[in-house]
Amino acid sequence: MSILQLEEDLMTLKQDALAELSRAQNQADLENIRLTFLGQKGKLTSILRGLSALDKNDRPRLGQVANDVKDAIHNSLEAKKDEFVSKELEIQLEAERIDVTLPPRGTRAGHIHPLTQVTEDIIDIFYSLGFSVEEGPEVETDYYNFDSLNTPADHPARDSQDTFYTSLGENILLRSQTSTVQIRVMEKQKPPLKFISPGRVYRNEEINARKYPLFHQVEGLYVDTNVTFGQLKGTLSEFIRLFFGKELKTRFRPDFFPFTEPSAELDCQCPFCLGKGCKTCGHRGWLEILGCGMIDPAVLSGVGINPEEWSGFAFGMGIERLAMLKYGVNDIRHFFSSDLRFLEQF
Amino acid sequence: MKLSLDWLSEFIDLSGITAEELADRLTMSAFEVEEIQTTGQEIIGPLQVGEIIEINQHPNADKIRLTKVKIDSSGPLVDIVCGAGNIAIGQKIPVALPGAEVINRHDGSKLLIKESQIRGATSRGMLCSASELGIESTNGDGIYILDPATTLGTDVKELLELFQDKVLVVEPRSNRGDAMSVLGMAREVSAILKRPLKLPEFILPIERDDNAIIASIDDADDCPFLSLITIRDIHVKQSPRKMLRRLSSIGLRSVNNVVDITNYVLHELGQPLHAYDLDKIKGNKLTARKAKDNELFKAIDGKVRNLNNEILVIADSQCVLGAAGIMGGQDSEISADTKHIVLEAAAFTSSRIRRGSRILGLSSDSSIRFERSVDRGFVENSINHAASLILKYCGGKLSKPSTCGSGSVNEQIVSLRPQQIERCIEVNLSNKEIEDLLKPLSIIKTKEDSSIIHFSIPSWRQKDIHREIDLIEELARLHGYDKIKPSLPKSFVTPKRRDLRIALVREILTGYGLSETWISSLTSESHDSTRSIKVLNPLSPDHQVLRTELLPGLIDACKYNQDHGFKNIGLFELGRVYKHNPEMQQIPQVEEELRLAVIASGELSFFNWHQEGSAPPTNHVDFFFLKGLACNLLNRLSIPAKNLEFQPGTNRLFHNGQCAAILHVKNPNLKHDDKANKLTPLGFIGQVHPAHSRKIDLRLKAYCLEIDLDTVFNLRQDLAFSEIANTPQVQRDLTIDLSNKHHYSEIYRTIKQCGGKILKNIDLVSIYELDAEKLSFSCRLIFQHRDETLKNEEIDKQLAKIRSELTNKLGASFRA
Repeated sequence: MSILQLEEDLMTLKQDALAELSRAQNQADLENIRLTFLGQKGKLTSILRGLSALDKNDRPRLGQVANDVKDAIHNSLEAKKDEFVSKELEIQLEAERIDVTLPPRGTRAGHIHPLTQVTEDIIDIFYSLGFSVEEGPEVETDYYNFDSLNTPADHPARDSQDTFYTSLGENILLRSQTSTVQIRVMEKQKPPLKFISPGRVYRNEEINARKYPLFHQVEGLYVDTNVTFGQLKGTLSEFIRLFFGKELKTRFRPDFFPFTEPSAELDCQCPFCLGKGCKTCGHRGWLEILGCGMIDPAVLSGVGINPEEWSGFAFGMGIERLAMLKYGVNDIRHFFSSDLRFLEQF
Repeated sequence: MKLSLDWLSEFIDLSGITAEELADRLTMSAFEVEEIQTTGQEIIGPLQVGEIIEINQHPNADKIRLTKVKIDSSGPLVDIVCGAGNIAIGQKIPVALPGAEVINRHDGSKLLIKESQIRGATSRGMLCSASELGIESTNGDGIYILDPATTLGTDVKELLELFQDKVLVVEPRSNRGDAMSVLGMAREVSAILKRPLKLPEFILPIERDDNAIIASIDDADDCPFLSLITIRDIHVKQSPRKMLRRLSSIGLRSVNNVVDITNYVLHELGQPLHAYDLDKIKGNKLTARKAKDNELFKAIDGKVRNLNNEILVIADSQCVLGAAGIMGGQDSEISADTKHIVLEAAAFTSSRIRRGSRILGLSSDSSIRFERSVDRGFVENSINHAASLILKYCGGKLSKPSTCGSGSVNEQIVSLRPQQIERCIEVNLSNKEIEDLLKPLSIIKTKEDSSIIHFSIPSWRQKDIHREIDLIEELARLHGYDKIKPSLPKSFVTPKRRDLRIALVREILTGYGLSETWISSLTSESHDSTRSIKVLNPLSPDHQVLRTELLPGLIDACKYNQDHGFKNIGLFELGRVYKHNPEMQQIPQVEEELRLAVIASGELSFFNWHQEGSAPPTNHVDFFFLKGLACNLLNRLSIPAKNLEFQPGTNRLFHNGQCAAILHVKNPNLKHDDKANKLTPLGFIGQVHPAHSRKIDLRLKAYCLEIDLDTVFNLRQDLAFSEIANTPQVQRDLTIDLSNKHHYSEIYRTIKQCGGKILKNIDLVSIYELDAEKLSFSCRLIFQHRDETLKNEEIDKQLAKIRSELTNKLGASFRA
């Protein structure tokens, strides 16, 4: 057999293979074609058997041609295979198509209580302003709840009409303010001190849409050298900006608390009407947010901090009030109802 | 407190200031104005005093009469048609002439007076009734009959003070009793507006007799000063128009001229006063003393009250005439027949009045002022002012005033270091500015040293200004809080790290489909009566004791939602419980523990729709769902699973057969009773006891747990990495048949103990009930050696050992 004849056979073989490949319908056809042309007992092998009859010098050249033919068939076969694989995948995917608009299944996530969310917001904001978090007991002595906070012995807040007293003794009560924690921390830790103290407080008040015998406050305190009223204003205005997420005007109105002096009530521009007057702010344009002031020197000296050396400010806010404002809740009782119709809205 | 601006202008010039401006200024200087009200009606003239000269019947109407009215003595008579029945010739009456605007008595709208024809008769004006003038009167719907002495043609608007007044509703300040009066607010306004205060003179006529009722004090601690003024031969009648109008503008009803004057002075000067009917007083002395126990007293509200020795009273020689500073008595009150009176004004101590007011359950304009403290230095001025008004409007003869105790107070000096102002509010005020700010409040400089200024405090401010800081506060608010520049602290204090574990608990539990709730920690009852803390003065039986556990509240919450149609309920609460511990050294002897409680029922999932032909997916909550939750939660709180045990337990709230105590075992490789080991109870988990469910009508099957989080947080273990083994794992299944008396935990522990180091894991695959007494457990064991590939023989050897131990210990058998 001549080298030319062999070359021609190879070309024919290549053309035949490519022609068959072009007619292949599926992966099984491809496998047949592979076996027919490239398999151990395939056509290429049988042609190459003729190689041994060739002149030694011709063999490399024909070997090269044979390899090219083999590669060409192989590549074309692989390309075809890829084509089939992706086509079959496409068919499979089409068969597996689902209606993604069907409703979800599986666990439905629960909800976090609105008072938690507001408390966490407040803690986050003050943490970013450098305040730690401290806690204290709810069952307290009248010393921590009143005396140490500069509350006169005959102050009306001490009445049993305002404060709950307990079976543990006439001086043991349920704290009516988180300010108790101020004293407990100042007794134990040395200034500079900067912390807030969220917690539950109790007051003997008839239950209605605005009042509940227990509610929650966040108390804050900063004692350092050179703490001023201006810093109180700056810090709390910053809190308002961060809490409501917008620039709101604030105003500090003089007020009176036994444990701060000078004292102030902080109002902020109503975030809903921006001061124009609406239902939420009672058409005043301002919302009362919190009480604050410079810590009374008597409170500082009471816990052994020299008021000539140190000064500080303190503030306290009602969490329910802020939550009612933020979410438009109109009745404080919702917070303690455990009603899923309420809880699932948050 | 209501403040009439017309009344206020008696003390200070308010020209050029609107009510709104004044309200803003007051709000920003410590007296919050909650509301601005308008009182009185807008009446427009011409409205003049006329006299009825002639009355004729209307020819065409029975009830209508034609009058001729004289307004101007020289002018013509005016024809006015009138329908009222109470008119008579010679009466002086208010006449609205064309162009006037009065009030339509039928609907309160404006009524413009025009010349008109009424059934053919011409009317050139209107005779007015009280309601048409917007005022109150005793003679009903008839024409308002004026005093016969009134001059013809007088402007009725001025005569009857028919104008509008603005009233500020001011939030009272607990530390500022001195400001609860027109005068007190005038002092504030004077300081704010920097306008001078106009004070009346408090002088009594010199003409007086010696026949006075004598003031006497038994209890000087509670009544340091008592002042009485006796006035005889007075006339009790209606109060003058101005007084009526002012009292009405602040919401007070008129009684008679004497009582109205005491109220008027109380609201004007802040000093409570009381007037007694002299003829009802036995003896010639009124004494301030403590009541005797069980002494009876009938207050002006007509109720008889039983007194005790904590209540201060004013008494004559025989009985109690009044609860001092709180309310007068009915028997000695001023009536239309009263001829002679005794006026009383005193300084009572605030704590005594507060106590009495609470005991009696009585509060009055008088008691709320005494509770906030009344200016002892102003008692005499006030009673003199009231006596002058009585002489002016009720007539009468004055006796010599009688006083007991002292009506003056000591001078109070407070020193101020000006540099302290700057330290506190960062405002630099000159000494002159300081003086000028304080002067309008009658806080007067007495002396000035190198760096200290001394101020004398007026009697009415001595209670709230006695220290330097009190003066700084006054200066800060008078200077204006809004003028203090906001800044941020100059130094930074590093905050302590936040403990985020509770937040983590919330995230995990909401991931399980549970919603957070907050429940009242005051509850109706506690099962642990020895350790529970009761409220002595509870608001209601539902709020009388502090909870000692969270679950009862949560079970009630579950029932509440069941009753509102929920079948799938998942709730949790993070909160404190409170227990009395008499062993504790510190006071209060109370342990406040942070707990977590969970309750779940039904499916905590979206609505699980399914495709026809495939099984509907179910994930009903059960014991093991909750157990898985507990394990995962505790693992995330750094308690490894190997240290946790769930032991069959009992708890009154839980189903006996479905309840486990959750235990932390310090060393799971040691026996529980080994001295080196330590067991810590963490809480309970199980199904709500059906008996409890039945009791509260909870029809859902609910599972719950309660965990002591403080304990869990204290047990936190540090995690440590162990090298990952790359050797192959071998899985072997083991089916164990044994009596159902044994717990799975026994099987688990036995396998674990003799599995040796190469036993990596034991999984329960299934349980099969062989017969009424026997169960079959299929377990899958995983073996792995850290360093080398295990040979089958080694595993077989270990399995044989496990089998024989299970047989020996638990009587287990194995099928081929």
